[in-house]
Amino acid sequence: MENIKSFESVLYGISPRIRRCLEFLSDDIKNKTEEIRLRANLPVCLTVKGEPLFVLKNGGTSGYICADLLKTEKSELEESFLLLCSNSVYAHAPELKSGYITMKSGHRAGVCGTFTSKGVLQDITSINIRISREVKGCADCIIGEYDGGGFLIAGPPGCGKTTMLRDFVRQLSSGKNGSYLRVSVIDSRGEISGSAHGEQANDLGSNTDVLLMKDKAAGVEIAVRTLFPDIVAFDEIGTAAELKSVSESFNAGVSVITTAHIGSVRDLVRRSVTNGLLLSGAISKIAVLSPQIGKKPLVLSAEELLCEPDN
Amino acid sequence: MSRIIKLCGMLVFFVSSAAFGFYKAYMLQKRLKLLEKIYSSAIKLKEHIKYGESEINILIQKCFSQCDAIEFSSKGIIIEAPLLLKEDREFLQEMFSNLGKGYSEEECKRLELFISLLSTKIKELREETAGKVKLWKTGGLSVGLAVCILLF
Repeated sequence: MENIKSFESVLYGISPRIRRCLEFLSDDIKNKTEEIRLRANLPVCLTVKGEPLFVLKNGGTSGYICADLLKTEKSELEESFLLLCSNSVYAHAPELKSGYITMKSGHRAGVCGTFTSKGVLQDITSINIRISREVKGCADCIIGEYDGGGFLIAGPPGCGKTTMLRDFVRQLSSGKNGSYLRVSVIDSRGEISGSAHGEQANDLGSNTDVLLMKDKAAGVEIAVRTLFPDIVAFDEIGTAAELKSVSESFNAGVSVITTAHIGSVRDLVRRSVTNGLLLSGAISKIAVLSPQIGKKPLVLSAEELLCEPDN
Repeated sequence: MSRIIKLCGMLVFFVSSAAFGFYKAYMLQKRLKLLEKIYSSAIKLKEHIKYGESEINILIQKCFSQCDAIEFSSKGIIIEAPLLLKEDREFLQEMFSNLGKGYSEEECKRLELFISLLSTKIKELREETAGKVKLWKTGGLSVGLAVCILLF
């Protein structure tokens, strides 16, 4: 039911004709949809359990390209873009420079088009609406592994790292691990907390502070200095500056929980950021998520991984 | 008795004619005041957009709260002002029609253009209104007086 509500809450950002067709989708599809992809002059595509599913004109779905597919007109794509921006493109300019729009209720829409030399996004060609979900209890399988040190949730894109991080934070902050840990969440896109217009849609536990800040490295520094947390959590570590701030936070006695994109376990050692993270000692355990739904994450210790780089 | 009725009639004619003249003058002044309010609100709006503060519906409510003529609804911006002429409404419709669809720099430039056009319009109207107000007031009084003289 929650998932259906989440699905319906993103429809405001889609042009009326396509919205009507999406409203006709079965509850089962609505429940399982992870993404809605709109591309200029191409069929509307949903991502359901990691697989593409095309929407038909009658509100049905098809796993294959066929004649009756619902296509997005260029004008509808532009209309959707304006609806996503609430007719205020200027107000979303900082996000658009990074290629996305934070929607109401914390959903995120990736926008693709032409980036001008000034960093302005023009001539929109596709929109990908990612439906963020709060899956309470999804971190049950890793919460017992938390030993007070740094924790990395790694996996390929779309495997649920952010969802796992959200629940992990909620459980730690709600005392599921024995004590109510003070958690500071650095939410660069409002995706973890589901924040929009100062309101937080997702439950991150009773002892969590949320710092909405684009610059995650600076956010970690601010959180350590001013919020005195036990844990700092943020999504998608990717830059040297973020690695440095994590390392400094670790040296200041604050544990870090973060996520990273990897294709396989080997990438943890191959990718410079994750390798640096492991070598810094800031991470003691790693949960590697599988793209297969329902498969239990593989939990490794950093030492174990560094000793056996061929893993 | 007939003289009293005549006097009453003259009074009614005089008062209604003068009142009509004053009413027309008041309406002209009110239109000018409303356009001046819209002008200052548009400047405020431009400043808010420049810093990308809030979404357009919030900004419209914030900036145009003093002039009841402009509202934001799900259908877009609604201009409801009987005081304004058709040409004023068309001008404002055009000004608001594509608002929010661009980045702050282009939005500001666009608004600047409309603000300067509105400023010219107000200047012309101010000169025009001063004469017309005087004309309606004196016209109303004179017509009333003329009718009274004729009746007398």
